[in-house]
Amino acid sequence: MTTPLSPAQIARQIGEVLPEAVTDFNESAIFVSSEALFEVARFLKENLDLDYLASITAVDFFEHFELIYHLTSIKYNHSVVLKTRCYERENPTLPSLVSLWRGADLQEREVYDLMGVSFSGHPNLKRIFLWSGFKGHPLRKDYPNA
Amino acid sequence: MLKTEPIMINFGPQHPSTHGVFRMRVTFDGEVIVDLEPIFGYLHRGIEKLCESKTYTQIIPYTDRLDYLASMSNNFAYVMAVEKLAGIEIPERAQYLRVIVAELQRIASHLIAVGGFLNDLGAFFTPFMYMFREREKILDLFEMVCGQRLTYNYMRIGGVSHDIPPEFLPALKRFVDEMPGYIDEYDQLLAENEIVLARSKGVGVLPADLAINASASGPVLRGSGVRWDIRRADPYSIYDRFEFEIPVGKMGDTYDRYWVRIQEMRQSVRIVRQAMAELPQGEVRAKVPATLRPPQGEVYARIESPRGELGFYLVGDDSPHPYRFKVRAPSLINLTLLRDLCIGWKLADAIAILGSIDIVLAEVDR
Amino acid sequence: MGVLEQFQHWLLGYWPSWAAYLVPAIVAFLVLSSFILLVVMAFIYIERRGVGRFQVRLGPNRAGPLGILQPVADAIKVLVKEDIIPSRGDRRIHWLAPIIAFMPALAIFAVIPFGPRAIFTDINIGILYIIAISSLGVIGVFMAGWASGNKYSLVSALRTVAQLISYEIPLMLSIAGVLIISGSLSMVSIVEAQSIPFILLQPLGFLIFFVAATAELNRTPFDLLEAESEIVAGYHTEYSGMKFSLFYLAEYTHAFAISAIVATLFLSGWKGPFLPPALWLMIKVFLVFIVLFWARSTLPRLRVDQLMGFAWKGLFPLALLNLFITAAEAIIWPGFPWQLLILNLLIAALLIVLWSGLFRVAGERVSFHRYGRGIAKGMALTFRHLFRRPITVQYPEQRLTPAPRFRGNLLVWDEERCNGCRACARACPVSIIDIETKKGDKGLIVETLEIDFGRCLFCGLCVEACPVAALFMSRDYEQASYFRESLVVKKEQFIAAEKRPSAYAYPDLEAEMPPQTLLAPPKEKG
Repeated sequence: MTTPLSPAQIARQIGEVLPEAVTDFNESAIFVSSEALFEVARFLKENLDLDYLASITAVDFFEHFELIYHLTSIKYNHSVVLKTRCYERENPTLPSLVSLWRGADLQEREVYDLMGVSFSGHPNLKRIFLWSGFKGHPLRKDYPNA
Repeated sequence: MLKTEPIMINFGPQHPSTHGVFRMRVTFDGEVIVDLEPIFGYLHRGIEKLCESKTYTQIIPYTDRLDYLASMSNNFAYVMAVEKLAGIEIPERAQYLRVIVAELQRIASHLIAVGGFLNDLGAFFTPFMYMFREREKILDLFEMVCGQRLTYNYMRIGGVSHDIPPEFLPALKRFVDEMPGYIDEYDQLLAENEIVLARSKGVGVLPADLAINASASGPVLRGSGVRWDIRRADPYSIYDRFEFEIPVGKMGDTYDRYWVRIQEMRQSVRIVRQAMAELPQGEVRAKVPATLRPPQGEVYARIESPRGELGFYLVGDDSPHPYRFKVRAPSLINLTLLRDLCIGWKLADAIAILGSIDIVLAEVDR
Repeated sequence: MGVLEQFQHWLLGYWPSWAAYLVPAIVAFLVLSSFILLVVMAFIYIERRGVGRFQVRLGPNRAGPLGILQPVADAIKVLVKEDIIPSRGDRRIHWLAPIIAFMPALAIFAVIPFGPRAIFTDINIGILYIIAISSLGVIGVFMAGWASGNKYSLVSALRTVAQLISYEIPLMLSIAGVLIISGSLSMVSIVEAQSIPFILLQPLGFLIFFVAATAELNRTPFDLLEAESEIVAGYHTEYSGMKFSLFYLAEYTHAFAISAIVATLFLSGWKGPFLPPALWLMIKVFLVFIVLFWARSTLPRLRVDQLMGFAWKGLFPLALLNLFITAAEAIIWPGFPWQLLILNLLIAALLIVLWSGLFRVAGERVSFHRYGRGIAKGMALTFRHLFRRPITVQYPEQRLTPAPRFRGNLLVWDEERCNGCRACARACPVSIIDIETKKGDKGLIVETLEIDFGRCLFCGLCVEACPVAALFMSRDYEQASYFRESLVVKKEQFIAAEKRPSAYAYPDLEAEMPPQTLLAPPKEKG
């Protein structure tokens, strides 16, 4: 059984190294500030052996975008859910995690294409499913439904 | 010194061996691949957006159309996510039926994967036809329980749509009795064939650490020797009750991925046997309101689909429609490393490597 | 003296010399090409049917009795197709290529003996002529690949040249062994020299020749130039119509020619008891061809570097050794007594075992040291499938009964029971059910009902939603129309339609339904 690590405990661990990185946590996830995302991810990968980035999801909550990273450790079979929020709507940008996990490559491109969140430091950030001249990002809630 | 220039060839979107409308822009030096860029999106239907305006029950037929070679698995993962979100308990019998059909689906899907892979190696449809023969029997069984042969729409939130008809179990028994014999036949046809070995051993090697780092899953990850199967690592439904092994490869080459699939079929037959023996009587569907309104919240449910970790991320908001519906598509994420695997190999190997990753474009593009 | 020369000599007595030389040539060409056309059609027929049986299918059986007219139908289909020349291609070369590919295959037949005197022209260097002519076909293939202006074709053309030139050498060297034993280059004398078929005296030579010839024919496992899964159709990707059919014809003519050469050089040609010589030759030709497509339906294909390695590291030294051993035997035992047969078999086995240890691909990881055991096992398995019952059915005469709860293509609507509650329309995921109702004496009356089956998912949710059992899935599974509009089914059509409801969502109905046709387990005859 994959054991979810306690967010409170991890938030404390992160806080010791990176103060002010963790903005909040609840019973299932840790919220980190978007500026500290890369540092936190690196900390989690190196210190907690979270070697497997299962999935990246972006949700549009109108006032902010929420990015959810499901991290798993194949070695110890535990998991952490990392969340970050991006409050800008015009040009939301987050640090790319491709240099930590190659698996983020296509998933970040997908988020960029459909949700319009760009990732700084991504080696090949361009639209993945839609063509390059496409206007808008369909998974945003304000994208007009046909 | 002869002056040479690289040649760029577009494989697809219309090509016999790209398993759908997938496109690879490949640069060759002679026949050796120096660069490869996968291009997606020719089958993008916007299912994630579409499902935000459907009720939770109406989404089930749409999940059929993600990975159309493993519709049952998609149904399974999706209804699990919704049940987790709404906190629904499902009856025992439904759990067993779900496991039976999901494992049959795994066999059916692996049959296509292996058959298609051998076609990519250049076999003239013979292994493909033999494997289709067995898949056809599984489709007959599925038709018996749910009335369709490809897009099953079998599982419902809270159970499955129908109980099995009385003739199902005898037919299933006959199938699980003869299936190991057929797998032996495939082994006889292929496992020792010198040409298959020469074409697949050592080709497209994916080291274990890279496979993990690139979020590969399913037979691709296990072919690299990582013993990671969600049925065992994070047991969902009732998988903790069955005995089965997780076959893993040694080197992570195309042969190991092919071998893992063949072995997984044997294990799936084993699981189906156990589930058949233990199948309890009773209801197959829990009482669920006709229009389900799950509470506010979010859930990530994942299963081991034939292609890897299939996850559904749902955000509920008290309305009959999900606020966000996201699919973690194993086919797409397994393609992350396609370029790394192919570079340095020959034209023919790129086809074999792509075949051994086993993608379904409807899931890649969604 | 060949048939052609005899005809010329006879004509010279009556006609001027130019006519006496020209007319027999034209007549010979016409006779030969129509004969070849017949044989090629037979080849295509038995290959398509045979591969079908290897794959537990029925194979083509619609055109004529047992599908015997299938090649004719194929030919007509190909010939009436539009002829396309790629705009970026080279027009003239595109035209010439199929002709150049086809002619050499045809010309080989000039020296194939169908009987002791049934040969067009018994030139005393028959073998040399064959080798010279048959290599010319590659020029046609290369021209086709180049002129198509298509990258797949170009890759195929380059592969062709590399492959054919490499395999030509072991091919010739393996023939040399035969020449040493027979002591002649003439095809007739070679057949006459075979008191024991040379396959027994030259087992290794035969194997090398057969493998190299398979490569010359571009047949599996050496079909790299038209490798469908890699380069679509190779050099003839851009060909259609008449020109494509010429390539097709050339391929099979070449297969016929090579089969005939194998039969002549190694299987003692026309010789055989009771039956007429020409018939014996044809029997042997068909046997060789059957082995060719048997291998095709079993084996995958080699990669280009493995293919070249096999030619240069495997076949070439083996052919040289074989030539050397045969020459030594010719000096020690000039009469080639039959006891040599055993010795040669042993030598062949030894050399194959020794040589197969040499093959290592992908570093040191894979070797061919199994001496082809795996290939033999696979061939045995496909052979066994030849006798299994085919699993395909003769649709539309033979129809399968779907499962009782089959979700077929149309819905069955019961007007009496429907109360117009629109539950089905609400349940439909694609919103294709359009119902309008008005108030009647006893509840609602359905005024319009329209369902667009062009968009239907056949998910069955509408049937499940119906509270009054007025809507059923149907058990039909054929749906075709030329117009999308005709897939929109209206109320009147629902009422008029033949009602064959399925038991989907109504388990009570299941008992009276006919049982589903299940795929029966294949029975083995032997």
